[in-house]
Amino acid sequence: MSSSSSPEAVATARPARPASESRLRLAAGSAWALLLAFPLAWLLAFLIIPVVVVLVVSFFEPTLSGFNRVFTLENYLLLAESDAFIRTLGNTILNALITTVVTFLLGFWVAYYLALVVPDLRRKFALFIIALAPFFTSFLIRAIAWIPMMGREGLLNTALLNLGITSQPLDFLLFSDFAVRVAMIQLYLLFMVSPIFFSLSAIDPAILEAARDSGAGWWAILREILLPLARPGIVIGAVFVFVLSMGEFATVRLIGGGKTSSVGLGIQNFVTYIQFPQAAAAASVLVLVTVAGVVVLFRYGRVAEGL
Amino acid sequence: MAVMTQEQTPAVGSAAPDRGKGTVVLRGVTKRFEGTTAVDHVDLTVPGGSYVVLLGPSGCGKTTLLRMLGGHATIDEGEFLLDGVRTNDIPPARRDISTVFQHYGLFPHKSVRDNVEFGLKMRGLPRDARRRRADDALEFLDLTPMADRRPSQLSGGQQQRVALARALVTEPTVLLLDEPLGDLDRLLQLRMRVELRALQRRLRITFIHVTHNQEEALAIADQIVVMQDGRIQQVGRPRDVYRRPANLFTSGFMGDNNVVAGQVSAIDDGHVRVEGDGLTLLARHDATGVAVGQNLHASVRASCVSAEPAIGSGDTTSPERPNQVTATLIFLEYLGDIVKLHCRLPNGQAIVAKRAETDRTWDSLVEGEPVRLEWKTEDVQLLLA
Amino acid sequence: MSTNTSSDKSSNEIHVEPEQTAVTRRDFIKGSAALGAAAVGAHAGTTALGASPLVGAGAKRSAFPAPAFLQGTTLRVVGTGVTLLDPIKAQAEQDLGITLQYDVKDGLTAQQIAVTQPQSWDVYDQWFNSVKIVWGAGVAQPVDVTRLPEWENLSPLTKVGKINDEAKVGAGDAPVRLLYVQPDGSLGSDPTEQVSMLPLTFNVDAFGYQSDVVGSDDARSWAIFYDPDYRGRVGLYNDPATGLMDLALGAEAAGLATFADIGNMTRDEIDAILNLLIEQKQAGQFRAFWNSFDESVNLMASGEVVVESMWSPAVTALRTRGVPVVYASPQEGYRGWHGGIMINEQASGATLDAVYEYIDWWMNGWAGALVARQGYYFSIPENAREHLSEAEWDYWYGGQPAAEDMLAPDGGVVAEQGEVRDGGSYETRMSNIAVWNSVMDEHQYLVSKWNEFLSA
Repeated sequence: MSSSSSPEAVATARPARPASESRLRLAAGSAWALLLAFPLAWLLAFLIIPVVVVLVVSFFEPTLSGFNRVFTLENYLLLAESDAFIRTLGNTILNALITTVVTFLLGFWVAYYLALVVPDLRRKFALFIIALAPFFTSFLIRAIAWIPMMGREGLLNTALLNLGITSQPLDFLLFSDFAVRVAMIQLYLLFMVSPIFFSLSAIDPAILEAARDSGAGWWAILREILLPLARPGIVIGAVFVFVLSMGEFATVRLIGGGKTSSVGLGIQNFVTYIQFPQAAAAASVLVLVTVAGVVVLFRYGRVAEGL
Repeated sequence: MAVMTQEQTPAVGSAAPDRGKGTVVLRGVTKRFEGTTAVDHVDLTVPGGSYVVLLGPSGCGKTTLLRMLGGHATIDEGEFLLDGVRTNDIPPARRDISTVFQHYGLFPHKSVRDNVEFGLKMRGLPRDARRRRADDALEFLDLTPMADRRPSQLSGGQQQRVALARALVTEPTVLLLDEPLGDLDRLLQLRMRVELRALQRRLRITFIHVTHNQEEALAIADQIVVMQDGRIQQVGRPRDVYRRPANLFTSGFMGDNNVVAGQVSAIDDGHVRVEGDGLTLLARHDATGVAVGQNLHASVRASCVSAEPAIGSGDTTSPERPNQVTATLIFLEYLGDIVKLHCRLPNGQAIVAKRAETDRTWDSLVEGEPVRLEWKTEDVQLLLA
Repeated sequence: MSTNTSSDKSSNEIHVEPEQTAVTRRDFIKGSAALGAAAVGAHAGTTALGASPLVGAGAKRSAFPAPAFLQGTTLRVVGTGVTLLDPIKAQAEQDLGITLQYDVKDGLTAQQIAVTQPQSWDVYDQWFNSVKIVWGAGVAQPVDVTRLPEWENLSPLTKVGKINDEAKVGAGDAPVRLLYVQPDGSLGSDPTEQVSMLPLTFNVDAFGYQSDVVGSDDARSWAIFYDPDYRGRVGLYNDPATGLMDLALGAEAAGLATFADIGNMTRDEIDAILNLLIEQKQAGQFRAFWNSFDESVNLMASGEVVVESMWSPAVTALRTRGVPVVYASPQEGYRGWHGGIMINEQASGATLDAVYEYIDWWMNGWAGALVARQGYYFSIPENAREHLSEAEWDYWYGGQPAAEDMLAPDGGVVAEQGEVRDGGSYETRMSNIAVWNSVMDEHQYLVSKWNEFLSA
């Protein structure tokens, strides 16, 4: 019976085929849309909307208990006129740059050691975990642990005094810009180490042998091979550290002891005093400066080129 | 019989076209890694200007040996002489030796030209001079149009040529190649091995090439060095290694050999008679140290076995002469150029015969029917080790 | 103000799981009402609190009946560790048959939550210096004092502004100035039947000093903050509404600044004091600023500072650690603070009834006795007295030498027999309030100047 009805079947089947194909294409398209929708929704919910809200609030008029929805530029004018804010912003940028540079100078060698010197994977992993160990405790505990280490009566000062190196406790070891920088470097070192470690680990050992075979010494290998190949890791690490240090407030508060400040801390203070428009204005400036820094880093680092 | 042991220093030589620079002599060279001996007292002489292939399965020590020659692994014991100069402790860059690494090890962040220039730059050549020499090397390997590209923008074959150019630009007398064809597809492999051979002929320097692929080794080498367990098993011209495997390992590794375990039952008239696995084999008596009653292996290359339909089918018990046996054809494998006949004796012993497609004797064979297999006395190899 | 502001370990350790224990406790009460008060006290003490919260109060436990209509109501309370104490929560739940959820934060965070997340709380248990901000945000409803029978007995300190005719009123945001809801919705001192925050717990603050380093003559005045002898050894409280008051009192005492109204400075006065502070800070006078109770204790304990603006429980904590810290009684007067309860604008029905029951329960004095053992005063002292032993009353309120060892709510000894409270009796201390914690008219200006001070 099938043979007689087959012409019609063919006739009906013909248009059906493209239709099912387009259905498939549609299904594939909506799968793609779904796949894209999630990160987009994520971005929207956790990045774009908050930034827009902050931007909008920064133009509202502050009151004792919050703000009135009245447009004003006053918040920005106050910041622009405030020497303290300008100085704090400068200090924040300086601290972020110092932290980024020093974490690179130290972190590169940690990553180098882990990736290229430690021979087997298990030991690499073990050392990496040890390097992570401080992050198993809460930030507050780590910050509080600085006092018995670096305080006036802390380990370091006691050691220096007992060894006769100093005759008085060194105050700058705690509650100072110096202390904040040291703490931030310690805190963010791993954010620099990790991406560099992964960049260096990805280098085919044959590349290094080929360089050696061509007569490259340690320094030439570092300059010609390792640094260029680690560049994506270095730039990503630098972006991590720079962005984190630009937004830093907790370390500044606890280790700085009120002796030094950052824009982030100022924002936090404004928020706790319920002065949201000023907080939002300062935050907008901070975001702008941070994004500018990241753009420079990516430009200079040419990460988009891949290598 | 060309059995080579480590005690005799195997000299690669007869086929070397050109004696000169690039002569490598190894004496008792040994490398140990925690508990294992990767290279075990290797003695080898490679005359300058020859193309030598180190052949063996992975883990046989061939790559380690190559790395020691290149200076990328230390020599724990023994001596490495390059053109008569002890080279054990000379750093890689100061040996007249270059390496083409497995997967090439090209610098991904440098252009093709900069890759090639790198060795010259490290040697402190002025920019112009190294540029000129690099361009020459690129031209020599037909890479001039790719000079400004990155390695990732090149095909596998082009990348290989860049690796060659980078290794050759410093004008070494010995070029080491670690599985140089391993990353290429089969067609490109076939072409590149011809090119490598031609390149070596043009340059007249020593090529030492590591591979696990016996066909590649046979096709390309002046001399093959078969390695297993850190030791040299056999050294010889491809045809000698192929025709006359020195021992059980080589025989197995070179492929398509029928190997029979048996016992010497008689020695007479310059012949050795071996019985085993339901077969009687007769071989020429041209090796010393064979005695009646001795257990050994005998090998017959599949392509040396001829096959024809058995007369009086079903009668497989009729007495047979040596080097002849009736078996059942299990499977006829038609491969185009050749035809492989997979046969089995009543006791289960498998025998493979390989016939040229043009030799139509196989045409009348039917799977499941008896088949008479036969080979010549001179094709029987006795494997003492 | 005083004690554990942040959600401290100390309060977490004795934390009571609200739902479960509340139910079991209630069941237990129902089943064993005849067993009497002592047994109940022992039960609460052992199961929920480790050490008994009812030390010295065993026989005088609150006689509140649990009103049936409140059963199962949940009150969400946001506030500080000063009054959000687990023994109080346990007792109130038991007496009232309600469930309490305490959200313990430091003062500024609690205030921020009150303003920005009004849907998350029913009761705001905080300090008067946040009333302007929280009331101003429109998230609170007036407390109707006619619903509170104990209102009559409330101390004149808050109702009128001073405990007796001779006492100073104190500059700044004295509770009375923010207490009564005026017909136009603003807050003022003219009595009405509606109040913004129902006043409960209060005290005066000063500074602590290490007695082996700081001479007691130097410690007589707030001026010590500017004393060059202690350069680099001074710790300050990072809060413009309170920490600044200490510094202003000191500047005035040291002759470095004058204020027409120290509790409500003009912009010029703010500029003057903050310029002085920045100058002093840059000269290295101040060692550190603290934000939480724990930080203030750590700074003194680790020897980073020897003079510190701090709360009296921090002094107690340091003494129990063996650090020789004394709480000063400055001759210029104290900085006063007063706590209390505000009701959420949205509270209604059973929830609102429960809030009033909860406030009424507080005013009844059991909780007042408990906070007395932390060193705080209670707005109806006589009601607290009912729940205190005579020795306790004499020590904490009377300024008498301790007739026996004084125990804290957690059972630890706060004062040994014979010790006298710093600063004397309730009357003496409360008559000498120089300034109250205050949110000034120029608060917003002060905040941005204070921020500059911090970053100087």
